[in-house]
Amino acid sequence: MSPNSSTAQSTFNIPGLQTGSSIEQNDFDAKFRQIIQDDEQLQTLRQGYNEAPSAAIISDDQKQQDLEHLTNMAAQSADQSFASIVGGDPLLRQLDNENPPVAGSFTAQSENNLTSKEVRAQQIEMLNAVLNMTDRLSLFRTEHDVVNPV
Amino acid sequence: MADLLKKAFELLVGDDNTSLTMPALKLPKKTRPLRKLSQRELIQLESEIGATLFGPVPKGHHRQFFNLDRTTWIWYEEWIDHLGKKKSTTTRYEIHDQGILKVQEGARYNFIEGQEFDNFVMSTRMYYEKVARELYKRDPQTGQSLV
Repeated sequence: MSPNSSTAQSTFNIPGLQTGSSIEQNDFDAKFRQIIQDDEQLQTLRQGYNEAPSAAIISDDQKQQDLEHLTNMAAQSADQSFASIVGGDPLLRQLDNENPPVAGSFTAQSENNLTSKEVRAQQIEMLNAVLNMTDRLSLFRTEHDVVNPV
Repeated sequence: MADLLKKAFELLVGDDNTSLTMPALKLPKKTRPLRKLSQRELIQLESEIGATLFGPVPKGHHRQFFNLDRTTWIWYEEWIDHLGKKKSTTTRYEIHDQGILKVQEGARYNFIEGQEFDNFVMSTRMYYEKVARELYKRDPQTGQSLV
C-alpha cells in the first residue's frame, strides 16, 4: 500500500502513527504550532501593553512635550503676572481668549497623542495578525491536502 | 472495487493467473484530486472564494481577491463598460511595518486608514477562514484536518 493511497490518507490524523503521511502531518503540526505560538506571543504583548502603567509607555516625544509644557506654563505665568502689572490690557485678555490655557491644551494634546498611540498599537497588532494568517495560508499551500474539489 | 476490476481484467485477458498482476492496476487517487495542483493553481482556487466575500459580483463583472504572498493581497475587477469596451482595475495591498499600502494604477498609492483599514483586515480574516475550511479542509484555528 502506497503511503499516498486512500487508506494512508484516512489515517492521516492518528497521533503517533509513523507512516509517511503522519510524519508529514507531524511536520505540519509543528510548523502550525510555531505560527500559533507566534500568535500567542502577540496576544501576550498585547496584554502587556494594555496592562502597562501609562507612565511606562510615554515615549521620548511625549517627554519632550512634557518639558515644553512646563516651559510654557512658566511663560504663561509670567504673562499673567505682566497682565496684572499693566492693569489687564484688553489685548492681552483677547490673546488669552484665543489661546486656551496651556495646561488645558496640553491635556487635550496629550489625550490625542495617547489615542493615536493606541490606534497605532492596534494597527500593528492587526498587521501582525494578517501576517500570521498569510503564514498559515502559505503552510496550507505547501502541505495542501484537499479532499474535495471546489 | 478490486474484485470488480479483477473480473474485468479476467474478461479482457482470460483467466491466466501468471499474467494477472494486480499491482499494475493502480487505482486513481480520487480522495486527493487536487494534490497535484501547483501553488499558482491553488491561489486561483482561493481567488474564487475570495471573490465571493464582498457580496454578489455585478453582472458582467469578473472579480478576484487573493493573497499572492506573505505581504501582498490583490484585488482585480474586470467589466464591460457602456461602450462595450473591456475595462479592468488592479489594486495591490502591501503589508508594511508602517501600515497597509494601497497601490493602484497610475502610480497612485497611499496607506489606508480608518474604516478602510478595518475593512481590509476583516476581509483578509474572512478569506483565511473560508479558504482554510472550504479549500484546504483545515480548521482555521488549529490547522487540524477537517476530514
